Amino acid sequence: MENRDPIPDSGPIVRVLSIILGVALFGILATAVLDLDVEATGLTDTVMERIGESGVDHPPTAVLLNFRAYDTWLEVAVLLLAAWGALVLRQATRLPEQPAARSPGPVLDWLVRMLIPLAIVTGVYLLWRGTDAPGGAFQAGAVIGAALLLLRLSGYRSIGLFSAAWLRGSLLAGFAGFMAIATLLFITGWTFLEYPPAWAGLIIVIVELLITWSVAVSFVALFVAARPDDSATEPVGGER
Amino acid sequence: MSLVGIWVILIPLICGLAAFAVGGRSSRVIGLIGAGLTFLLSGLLVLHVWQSGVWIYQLGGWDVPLGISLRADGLSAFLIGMTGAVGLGISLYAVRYFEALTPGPSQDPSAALRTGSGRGEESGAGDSPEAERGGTEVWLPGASYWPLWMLLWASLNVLFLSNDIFNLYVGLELLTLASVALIILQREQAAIVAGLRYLLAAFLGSMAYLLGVALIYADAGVLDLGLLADAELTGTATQVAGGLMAVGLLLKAALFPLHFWLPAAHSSAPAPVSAALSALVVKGAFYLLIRLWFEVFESAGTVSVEQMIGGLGAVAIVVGSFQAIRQERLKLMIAYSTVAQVGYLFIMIPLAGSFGDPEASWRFEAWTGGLYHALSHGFAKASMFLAAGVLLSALGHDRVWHLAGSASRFPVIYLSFGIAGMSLMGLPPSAGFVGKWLMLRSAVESGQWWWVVILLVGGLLTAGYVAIVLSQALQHDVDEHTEPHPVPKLMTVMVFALAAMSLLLGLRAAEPLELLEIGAPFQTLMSVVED
Amino acid sequence: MSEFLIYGLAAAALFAICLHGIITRTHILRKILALNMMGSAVFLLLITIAERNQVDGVADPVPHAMVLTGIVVAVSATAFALALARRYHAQTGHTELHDEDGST
Repeated sequence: MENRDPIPDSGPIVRVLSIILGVALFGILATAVLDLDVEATGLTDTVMERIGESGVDHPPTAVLLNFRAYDTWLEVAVLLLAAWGALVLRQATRLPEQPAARSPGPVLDWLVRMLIPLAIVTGVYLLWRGTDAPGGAFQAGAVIGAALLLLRLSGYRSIGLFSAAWLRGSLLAGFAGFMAIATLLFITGWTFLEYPPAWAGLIIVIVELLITWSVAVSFVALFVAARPDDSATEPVGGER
Repeated sequence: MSLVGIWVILIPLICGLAAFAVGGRSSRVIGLIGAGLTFLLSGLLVLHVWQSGVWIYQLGGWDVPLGISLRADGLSAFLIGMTGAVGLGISLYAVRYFEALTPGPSQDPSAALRTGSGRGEESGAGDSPEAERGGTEVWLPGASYWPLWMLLWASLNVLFLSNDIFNLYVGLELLTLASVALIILQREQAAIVAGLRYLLAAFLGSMAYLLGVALIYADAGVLDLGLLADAELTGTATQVAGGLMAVGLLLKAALFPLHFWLPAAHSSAPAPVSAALSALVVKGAFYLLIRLWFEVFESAGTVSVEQMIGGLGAVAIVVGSFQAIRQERLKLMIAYSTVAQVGYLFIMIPLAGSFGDPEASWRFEAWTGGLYHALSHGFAKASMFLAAGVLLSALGHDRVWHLAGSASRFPVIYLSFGIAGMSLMGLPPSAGFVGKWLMLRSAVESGQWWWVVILLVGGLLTAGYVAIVLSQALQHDVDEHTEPHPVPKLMTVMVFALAAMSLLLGLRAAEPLELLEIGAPFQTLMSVVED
Repeated sequence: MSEFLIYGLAAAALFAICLHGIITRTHILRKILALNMMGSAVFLLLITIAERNQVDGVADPVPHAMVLTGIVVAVSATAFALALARRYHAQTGHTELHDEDGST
């Protein structure tokens, strides 16, 4: 975006009022925080009692993908909607390639060749460790998405290779896969979002894999689709 | 049958994803199937709650507080039923609406686009170079409409069924993002500004809500609404959390003065989207506020805060109605009317709140009255926005002062507009009358006469802007310059059907009102009265 | 003063500062940044709660899960808002929100 210096901000009256509001809000929030008990246990015991039945060892992963899987499932839908909204904004069913104007120099080229495999390995490692340590689908998806972006930014062909169907499929995979598994189990008599104990670990891994891929592609799609239009003929000013 | 509560969420999601995966023109068929099925399932859910009472479901088989539970009581069923019926009407209308926008094989796409902002203001910058480069698939507004609309519908059902304050946060965000994506469907400049402002406002509201959730969890150690209601929290932290959540939700429900984002957002979207936003989405935040206020924060509420919220509602009625009267564009007028009608909904808070005798029967009366008003507004406002969409498609503009004499061309449209307006005014025998009557009775019985005044004045002001439109339309001097485009019959039929519903629900109010009693937070009070 | 209070009050202060930022800054990017920081304030409070609730060295995983979910939701909303802001800027050249009738 163009630089306009100085950026106009709101006038002095608004500022003073806003400071008063901010101080008052801090006062109210501080009272609330001071009112809270300094010691409590929340749901820690409740989770730890049942973690053995969840299929994973890392408590937050157990909460995210089993005890409160409904939240996670809907949260993937939120990400899907954002990526989708960006596609609507572009009125596109596919994403464009980076204009091939700049070719990567030798240093960048070497770096990309080193970093991409490293990023993929890191992503898979994060995904794998998620069952017993901090990590998981979103962290892995972010790293792999970054690798895809790096490819694109350094002039390699990446997301533009995706056909419309591939792009849609990739965006959908996490949410739809999660839903398909849950729905199938639901139809066969299980409670919705309940996993058969013996299969819980495997199901969580499959769901996490699908979410990882969707997260990676969604991030790239959001980044790419946010660019207004790659064509230089984009008019500025709104009128035709 | 007892699993219908899950299917009412799953089916619109499955159909939405299928429509997205298929893309193109066939998404319409899947969308319609989804709308029909969701409507049926909503009806079944209402029936189930009616017959077997409150429905509770532990997701994943994990009991609360570990897991998340779904719960459908009379209130949830009432709103899911409303969403189902209004949603079906909007869907049938949208089939034809987006067909008109879909470029034919040889047509110039931009020529077929009739947009939401009157003549000469339509779409901003150059249109989609990707469409041609993609080669195989052309971007169609309808193809994106169906999946997004199905997701919006599903997220409303998620919201009405969830019984977990954090899960409700995720549901609210789902609702917001689906709404914004639908607002910008035609990429007009006005819609993009409106969508961005809406997104930022809703984001701020979500953050306030989430901070409230954090404070409540810190205080109570649980997230389940039922457990929180049982805990009867009264501490400072709970009061602050309640305030934060209320402000966040008031921002999303657009109560004056937090309504600044609404008129532009609701008026610049395509007609079926405007209808869904005004009739249904606003009710999502309102529902959640009611739920929290009368169940979780029941013991923490104070008369002065409740009177203040009611006062804001009163100002919203007056300011919104006057703004509506001043508008030159029909869609903006209807959007400002929503600002005013949202005000009515919040008059319910002081009436059903802690004023006077806590055991009094007027509290339940006010609560049902407010919700009945929400129901009537849902049908009436959807009908009005869809009517404006018909006029916009036919005439190419929606300037109120250029509608002169158009009643002879669109008799059914204006008849529907009049019926819907009647419901908004609260004239008998409309559904709006039932809601208003219950609120009036409650105000008189509780001695809060000041709300009587505002309820009556609001009705007169509503009559003002409805009369402006109808008197223009009924004039004799026909504006010869505009030759109306033919509008598909189905669109007109849906406008009328929704308006007729807002009338019929006034004639047959006993069952819906009885439905609301199931699991209501005031049930004990009612049984005291009945004994 | 306990750790819980220090972090809790910091979260409260951060939230209030961000509200000030959202109200007074007119540049869309700054508003979006302020909103994001506001999210961070809430996440800070949640993490503080998780630490407070620990039993035998295991922190409460529920607020941790809420933070992870909240981050993804906030990232999605932010990215969408940024996409809208860039589109808006490309169409109008503005970096502040103007009313539709003031589109000059």
